[in-house]
Amino acid sequence: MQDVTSPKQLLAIISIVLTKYILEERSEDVERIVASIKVDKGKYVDLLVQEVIENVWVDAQFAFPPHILMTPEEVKNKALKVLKRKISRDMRLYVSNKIE
Amino acid sequence: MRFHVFKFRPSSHSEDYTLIATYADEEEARAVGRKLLQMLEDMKRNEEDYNADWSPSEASVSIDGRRVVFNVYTAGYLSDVRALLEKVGLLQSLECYENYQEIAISVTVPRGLSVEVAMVVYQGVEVEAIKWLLKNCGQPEIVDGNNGRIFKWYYRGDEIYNDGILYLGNFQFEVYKYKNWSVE
Repeated sequence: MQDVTSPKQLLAIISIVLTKYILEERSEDVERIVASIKVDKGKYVDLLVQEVIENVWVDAQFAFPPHILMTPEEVKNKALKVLKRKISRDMRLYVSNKIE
Repeated sequence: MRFHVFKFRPSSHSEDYTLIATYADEEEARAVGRKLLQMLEDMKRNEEDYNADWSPSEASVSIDGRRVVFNVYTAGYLSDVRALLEKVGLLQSLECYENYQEIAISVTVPRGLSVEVAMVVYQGVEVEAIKWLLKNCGQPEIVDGNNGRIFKWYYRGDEIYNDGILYLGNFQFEVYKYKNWSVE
């Protein structure tokens, strides 16, 4: 994260980190979700990453001068946290069908 | 890896947003509508899992044939809804409007006049309005009545009409000043 110099670059790196996490750590969950919806795995991952990036877009703007409120590392960690919540949401909506 | 530019990026002010998702058939639209309602229920209990500045009780969902219509007052926090609309059905189109309006704009002209001739007969802002309507709404419906011929355009989209004034691109048309024009 030290070499990152712009919000755009940070968001691009976070997109890769998120995709890697989804495919390596949550592949089984994603398979179960995709089995219940109308888009394939690739499209689903794409939509999920897009959603999370949208959530942290503003934070990324404030991780660089002139107004630094967060570090790039903090933005990445927030993105991962948001991603986990989105997967939990989709597990409830599309796999368990149990809205609690 | 695609890098996205987001249409629904949240802004600093709120508007009445309407998302209209169109699917291949009514059955699919109904399935998406049901899932959307489930999502609103889920939001009530798992607020932290959603990126929204609105309460699920403030949102509305309706089905209109192959279309699912979602409406809420927000500063653009629509990513959860959009993602669902794209996942649950095979989306044919997704439209997003601010302060959505469905209106009919009419102008009464002498009988027998075509739109083209009307644009020669009339002047100034009326001609500009007709040009805008032709460009954005297409050819008008034509009704011949006792008092003349009515050209009627049907518009749906972002808000263009408020308090007697049509906001057509870069000019304002004060409809209330013209007896032969009406908006309903």
